[in-house]
Amino acid sequence: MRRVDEDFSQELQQHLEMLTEENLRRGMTFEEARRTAKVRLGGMTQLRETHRELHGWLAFESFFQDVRYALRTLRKGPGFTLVCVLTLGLGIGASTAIFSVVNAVLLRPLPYPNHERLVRIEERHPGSGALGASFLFANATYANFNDLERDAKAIENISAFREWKFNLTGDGEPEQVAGALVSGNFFAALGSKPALGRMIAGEDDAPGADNRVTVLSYALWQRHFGADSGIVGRTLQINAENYRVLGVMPRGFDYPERSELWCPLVPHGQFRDNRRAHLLTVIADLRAEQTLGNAQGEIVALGERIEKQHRTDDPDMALAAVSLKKSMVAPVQPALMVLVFAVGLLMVMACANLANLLLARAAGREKEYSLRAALGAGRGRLARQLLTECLMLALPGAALGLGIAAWSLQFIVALDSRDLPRFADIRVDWRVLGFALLVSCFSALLFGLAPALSSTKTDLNASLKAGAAASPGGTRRGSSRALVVPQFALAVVLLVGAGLLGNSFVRLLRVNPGFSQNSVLTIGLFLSPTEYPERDVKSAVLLQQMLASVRSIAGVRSAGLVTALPITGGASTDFVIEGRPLPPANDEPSADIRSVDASYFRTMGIPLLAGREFTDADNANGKRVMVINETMARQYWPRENPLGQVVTMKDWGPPLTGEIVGVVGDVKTNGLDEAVGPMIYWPYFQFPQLFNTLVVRSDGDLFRLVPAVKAAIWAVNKNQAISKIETLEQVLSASLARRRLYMILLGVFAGAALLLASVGIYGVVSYSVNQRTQEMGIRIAVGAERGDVLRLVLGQGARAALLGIAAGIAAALVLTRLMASLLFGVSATDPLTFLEVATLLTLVALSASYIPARRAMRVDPMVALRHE
Amino acid sequence: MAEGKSEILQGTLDLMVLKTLAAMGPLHGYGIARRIEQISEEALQINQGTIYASLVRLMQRGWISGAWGASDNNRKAKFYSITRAGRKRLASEAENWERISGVIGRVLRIAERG
Repeated sequence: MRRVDEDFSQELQQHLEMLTEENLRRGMTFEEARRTAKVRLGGMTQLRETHRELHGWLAFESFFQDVRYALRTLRKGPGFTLVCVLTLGLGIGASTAIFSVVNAVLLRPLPYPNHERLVRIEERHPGSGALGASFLFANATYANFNDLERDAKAIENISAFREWKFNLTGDGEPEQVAGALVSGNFFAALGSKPALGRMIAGEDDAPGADNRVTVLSYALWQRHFGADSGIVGRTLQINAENYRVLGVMPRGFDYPERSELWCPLVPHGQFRDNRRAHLLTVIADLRAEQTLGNAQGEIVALGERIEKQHRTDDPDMALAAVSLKKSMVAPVQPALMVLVFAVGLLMVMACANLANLLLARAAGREKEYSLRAALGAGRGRLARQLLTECLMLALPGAALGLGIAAWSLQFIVALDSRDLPRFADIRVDWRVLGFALLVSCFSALLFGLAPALSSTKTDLNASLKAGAAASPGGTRRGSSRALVVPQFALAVVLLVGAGLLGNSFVRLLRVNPGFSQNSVLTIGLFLSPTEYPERDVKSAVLLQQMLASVRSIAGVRSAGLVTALPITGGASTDFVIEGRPLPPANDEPSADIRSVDASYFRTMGIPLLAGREFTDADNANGKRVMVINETMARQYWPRENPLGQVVTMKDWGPPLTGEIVGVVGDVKTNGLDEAVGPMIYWPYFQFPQLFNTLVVRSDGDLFRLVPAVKAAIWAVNKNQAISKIETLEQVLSASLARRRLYMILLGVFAGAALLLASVGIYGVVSYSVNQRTQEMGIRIAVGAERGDVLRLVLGQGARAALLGIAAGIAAALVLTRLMASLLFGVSATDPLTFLEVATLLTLVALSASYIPARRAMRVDPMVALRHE
Repeated sequence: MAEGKSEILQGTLDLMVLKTLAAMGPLHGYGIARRIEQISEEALQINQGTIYASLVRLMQRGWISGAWGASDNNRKAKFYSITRAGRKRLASEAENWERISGVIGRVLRIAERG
């Protein structure tokens, strides 16, 4: 408005000057000329005032006219309005939700001050390229970390951490919390600042210094210590030792992986020079003025040098630098990209539907436009009014979409999912809101403007004279039918994608995990490393007592012990078979290892295939024995009896040699979708470990058993921390959480796409029936069977749909390959899925066309002919 | 207003502005006012400021458009020109006007004859 005012003042000023000049030419004096000019122009202030009012009022008035008119028109066609708003809402809602997830997980920077410079140094080994395996092998040995810290020049704050569990005892119920052992400069690398006190820094991790210090997360401080402001300096019992609290991190800081507690990573003796245990995650900051490329070059060269020096310990090792964020999101990126793609398709479909509806309507209202144009409405004015109408649709559509987005985000976040990185950060934020508004306004403008412009080009006389029946909408009808084709094509792509994921999921559920998953409760037990030094038989004695205590509970059928549950992964080792030639250093066979008690196999329902299970006699004093799984037996002794063979395990401290006494069935080790590898089981007395899980089989309600189990454990050791109480079914289900999430999301998209496609084809066919009422009447009048009319209309819809389906199948054949890594047990071009989708869509197309087709069939020829 | 110089109706002024722009091509506010005065042989001497209310109305309806340009003596001035919609409107309004003025004329003559 101010600009308009200034413009006008300038304009008046010019006018005054010109009048003055005219007067001067007539021979007046300057004074006189000026005065006369002012009189002839009129009072400047008053003119400005009137101008402002007029300008504002007219703009205002015509806007409100438009809004009123739009609302009236929309009310007159509630079905049309509803479908448009729903279509927009669906499109906007789905895209906003997915955009929020992508924004939180992939786009938003890591919440650490140094996020732009943070890199992770990964170890690479041959064969670790596959998704699952790369994480196990990306971790570094302490020796490599030392070498990096000493020699790397392009990076600074080179730090290492190891995810760890801590038993917190002394205050209230013992609690196990997740956290990390971190090197002195870990916090410096991230650049984060504490909320209270100080962080672990500099020399806190030096052997011999005061290492018994700890930093708490904000959440732990709130939950376990009631936000005690005097917490700094207090002494806590962590893993049965006294630790002094240094500080508390700010709210939300939980790196790595929802950590709640951090203690120094102290490199004692052997550990420091270890080149075989790949346990550390190494992160660092790029130095100022260094690029990732520079660092990468240096790190790779360094890796090559180290590999040459230590080939016997760690053959074929290579180092690489990647941005920390990239390494964090790498596992979910492909799936998220598929979702983004899917939501893009859905949005396109929603827009196409909207365009279709608006185009069809524009054609139906041609007469109205012509009339208004004839009455003097300018083309711009008409277009503006149509745009107002579209915005009246877009705004509620956007509101509905945001509602849908907020609701589905709640749903997505509730669904899961601990193993999506940065998942807690997902929310609808203002950028997402902006995105939704942009999309809705853009689609409204685009699809409002196109019909508006084409309709205002109408030749007034022609369309006024032509009347309603023979509207010149032929090309437009063609173009709206043409929109059905891509809609069906897109629906095919989405449905095939969802179908393939669904098929994969069903197949996964049918996979035999190798154990019986019903009626088993699992309880995590982590023994304190100070009370029970690693490999000390004392820990096994304690566990034996706890097992006996748990077994005595009424309702417990059996109870067993294992170092890591199936499905959840676990430790592995290289091994050597006695009496066979030594394999080359980089090609030693490897197997997963677990320590179990005598009743583990029975409790889990893992079948014994040959030999015997462990007994209580397989204790610390007994002969070293092991049980192997079927895969190991088949792989290494295909034509011999594995029983009696002797195997040496190499990677866990001093080599441990034992005789194979039994073979049990395979269980899925790393997930239902991962192949099973060789597995070695040790009796827990012969290979005691600190991380253990109790498995309890009972016929009753498992969760009713929990208090009794806890009490039984605490009766043996009142300071024993307990973590992760889950049923075996929950463990299995959690392992499928990510897949379930993707399947549900893509399934929802596909459902929405189906809905949009059917609304689209219904709209087009029913519109064309309306337009051709007269033609149908004539056909029937001159003797067409009603069945012929039905076939004519159905055929018209079906042809467009079939064309779309064919195009969609062609596109899907190419596109589903992108999601191959998400599939299990079905190929990306699974013919059955394709066939099902094509059939489903054909049926949908036919039934959506059938309703208007029936109407066409019932046309009364007399009524239709008299229609004009 | 001096005698002999008739007050003019709002709608009529709009019509005259349209006609002027149609006949003369782009003009600034002063030019339009001057032209109307000249054509009417100074019989219609308007308060030149009122032309701007007319210009705003015509702009709002999309019948004319305005743009800044340079005047004859290289001054910055806002030039108005008639749009296609404006021409259509002018045609129908002019026809209308002639019909009405014809009718009014006849009525007046009848009245004179008494």
